[in-house]
Amino acid sequence: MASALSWRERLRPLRASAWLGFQIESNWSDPIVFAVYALAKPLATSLILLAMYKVVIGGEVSDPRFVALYVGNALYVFVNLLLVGLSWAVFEDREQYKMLKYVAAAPIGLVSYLLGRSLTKFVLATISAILVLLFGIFVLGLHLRVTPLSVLTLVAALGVGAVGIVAVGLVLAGLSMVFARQSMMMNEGVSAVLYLFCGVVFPPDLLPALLRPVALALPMTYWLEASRRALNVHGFSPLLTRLTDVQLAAIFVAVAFAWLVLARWIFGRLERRARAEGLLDITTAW
Amino acid sequence: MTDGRFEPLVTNLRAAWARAYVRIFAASREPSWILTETLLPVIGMCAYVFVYRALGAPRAFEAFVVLGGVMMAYWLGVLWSMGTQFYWEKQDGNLEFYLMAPCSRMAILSGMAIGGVVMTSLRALSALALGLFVFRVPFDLAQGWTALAVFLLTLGSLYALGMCLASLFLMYGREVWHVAHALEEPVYLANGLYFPIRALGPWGWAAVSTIPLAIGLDAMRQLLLGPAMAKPILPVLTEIWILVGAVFVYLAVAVAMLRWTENQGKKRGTLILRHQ
Repeated sequence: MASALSWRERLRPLRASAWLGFQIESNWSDPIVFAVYALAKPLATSLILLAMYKVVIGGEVSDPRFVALYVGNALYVFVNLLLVGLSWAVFEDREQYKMLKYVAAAPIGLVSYLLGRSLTKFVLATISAILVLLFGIFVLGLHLRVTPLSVLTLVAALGVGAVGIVAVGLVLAGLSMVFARQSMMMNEGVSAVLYLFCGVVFPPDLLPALLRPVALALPMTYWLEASRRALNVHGFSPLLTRLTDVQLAAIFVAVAFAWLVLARWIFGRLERRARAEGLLDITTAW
Repeated sequence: MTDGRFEPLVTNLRAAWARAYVRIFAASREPSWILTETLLPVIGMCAYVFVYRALGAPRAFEAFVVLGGVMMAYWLGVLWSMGTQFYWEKQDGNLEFYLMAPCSRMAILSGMAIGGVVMTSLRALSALALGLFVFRVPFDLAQGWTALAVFLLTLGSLYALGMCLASLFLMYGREVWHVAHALEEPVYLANGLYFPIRALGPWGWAAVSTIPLAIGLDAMRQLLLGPAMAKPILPVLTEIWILVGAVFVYLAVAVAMLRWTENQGKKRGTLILRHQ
């Protein structure tokens, strides 16, 4: 009983911060505007890629190269919302709402609070990714294998992928605590950098040899490859195609959890620094 | 000067400079700004260059991406440094000072635009340098001066549109955040930032008729890449006249909207009401 109560106690801050995140994300804005924002962005990016593809190839969208980049782009919304959302929460709470110092002073801990805030983003990203993939299947006529097993594999990949994404997001959130207002641009910038490195819309093989190890050190690279395989999209990256499914899964899990351990340590260090230097309540943007 | 005929002009110029000064010099006080506001966003542009490479597209298509990356920097500046600025000033408690100041609101908006252009140009130049020196995109500079004139006209019309957005967003309240976000990728798509606008078919005309970004890009592509590659929608001269018209129309609309928003705000008592 004591143990169960302890779990409930532990989950309470997550629940409260998730609810707060939902209120901030949705309740304060017109649902139509919000839907446009949550759906229009990823859909527009997909259509940009479709236009680029049509201009160059001019043919059918059934080309596995297009299907692979479409899937990568549809799933990248998790990085945009979940990863960037963690550091946005720090930025907003410190600079705009000026609440971060109170959260830091509360016994729940900043990590629990941020994870709770990211839950809303996770739900949003899931809705967005599903709708963009459905648009691809039913409107563009993409051939994706959707079976119970493929969905299960996709969900499992997303589970591990989410751990990796949150881990990288925690590093970014830690940096947001010690940076001034430019952390706002850093969020957008990191999202763009990861779009380049994770094999979202082009295989990491195309990156200069010097930068390829960066792509291979990121959990999102393996997550996207695993998700593509789950949907029967093969051969996007010759570099990753060499790995068997088991090898890919093993490397993916190892990289994601290595990032989690590293990120927790980095976040702790940065949080201590922010507390020591009085950076939790500075306002530099508003 | 002593008879006071030029006093309003001088006051407005000083107000514009004062507002621009904050943007130009305050940013330089935080060196990490250079990394976060120039290098990082520009790297995102590279992904689209690699998409064209992965698809085996001719090199000239990479020039589309670089030009699009340059203009994207300005569009983001228009959205976030012009459009949302009055809303942020209200949140920060500065808006009432602007309203009390003995100068035109347009002078303040012009100062924001000038400061914004200077700041954004650093990012745009980074994109251009990356395109020219790293990706070695093939630009034909034979009509470079005309392209520069088109670029400046496009900037003028975009920032005039930004002045209209400033009033609109001030009225919109906190939903503005989502609206501004919604005007990013969909606008890149509608304005053919990385591909010829003709690829959109009739939908392309919808963008052309609202946001001057597509027209400016189309003209610059024709001048720097040649009409065969640019697949233009209109001749350059027609596009130049449209851009000139857009500057005046958007400026007139901005003045009218600013007055209307201010009056409405005063009547409803929402002009200085924060978190609305």
